[in-house]
Amino acid sequence: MTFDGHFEPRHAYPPLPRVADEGTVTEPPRSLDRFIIALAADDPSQLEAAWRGFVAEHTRLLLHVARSVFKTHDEVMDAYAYILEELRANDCRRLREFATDPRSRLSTWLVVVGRRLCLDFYRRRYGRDHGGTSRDQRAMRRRLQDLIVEDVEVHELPATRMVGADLLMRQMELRNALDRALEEVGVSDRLLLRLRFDDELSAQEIARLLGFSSAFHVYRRVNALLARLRRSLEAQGIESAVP
Amino acid sequence: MEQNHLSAAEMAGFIDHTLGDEVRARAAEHLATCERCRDEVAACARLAASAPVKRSMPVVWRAVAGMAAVVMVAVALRSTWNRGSPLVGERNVAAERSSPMTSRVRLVFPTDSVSIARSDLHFVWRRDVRATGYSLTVDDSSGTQIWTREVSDTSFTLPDSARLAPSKTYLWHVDALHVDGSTAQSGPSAFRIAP
Repeated sequence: MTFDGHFEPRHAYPPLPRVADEGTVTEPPRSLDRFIIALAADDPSQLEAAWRGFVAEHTRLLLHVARSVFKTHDEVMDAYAYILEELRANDCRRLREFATDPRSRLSTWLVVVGRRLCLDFYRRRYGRDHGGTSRDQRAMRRRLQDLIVEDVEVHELPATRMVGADLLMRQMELRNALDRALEEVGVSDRLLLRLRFDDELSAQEIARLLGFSSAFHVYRRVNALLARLRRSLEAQGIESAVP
Repeated sequence: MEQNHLSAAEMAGFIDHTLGDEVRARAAEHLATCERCRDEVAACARLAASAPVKRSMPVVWRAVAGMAAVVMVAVALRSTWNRGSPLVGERNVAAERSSPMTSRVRLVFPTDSVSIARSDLHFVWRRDVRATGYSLTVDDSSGTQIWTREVSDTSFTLPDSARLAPSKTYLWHVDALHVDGSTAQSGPSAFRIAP
């Protein structure tokens, strides 16, 4: 049985059923399927109705995304309009691409695409990147180096403090030793440590993102990794984080 | 992927855990070294987790379904404790409820926009282990519902009273009805009545 009627896609639009990479089957919600069918049918009134349905279903989510980037009501509404405009552009190219190979839930994909469009809109409007945490600020927060060496009592801090070039040299030595130790752990563990100590995600957020059963499992894995890194640093002759 | 940043599809798939193992491993490798993508994946995961929930059921029924779910979990845990293995039962119930990707009805036939004679039209779908019944719905291509019925089996022949026009395309879907008031939905599938 083959499909041979007027429903033949006129613009090589994708077929409806989809299989994502390597066997993970996902299906977009009904609103998107109707939308894709309307695109294929090339009927403006049907397409308009499907678009309205799609917008109605996802407006709250898109506004939620816009509010995460913009603060004032006017900015949020402008960003929301920009997202819709871009999703509709080129015969809804982005939505058609998603429908061809859905690798996630539509809502998650809309969050990622919507946020990217909001940041793009911000750049267009203000001519610069959206202000977030700068790398310098983040570097100040980094605690991994401190956590993997033995605990240091404040009153035992060395009386002879290094200054200038010596201090920089020692810091560089510590950082290099830590990088070498990190290279010895697997990619997923390295990502776990980055998320926990560089990006400061909560254990619960990490559990959700990396597929741990609970925050408790994240803590346990982090502690095991810190102990391992500590041993690796000790083997390199590093026993204190204090420069 | 080592040099290029994650695409929107890859990032969303990473957050939802729906990428294949190989693609996910490559994404993790990139994320471990790319601060910009890690920033984005963290922000998007937070947004997705805090996204407004769709209102699919009236508030009263949601409350009833919620209470029913609590009772179901309690019963499941109690029976599992009686067997001496509480964690396994708890995890299965939680996993089943928290995984929208796995709670889905699979349509078997007709699919893939096949052209089919009206007399051969016989709907078939896969069984949902938690279902106490199913709701079969047929829409026309504009999304207007033209026929729906609750059935108990996983196949159904449309009665002659349901008039489907030749050369027209239709959509059908099935909702599995669970005892706790929740439903699992199939995606829609298209078919066409042969001229």
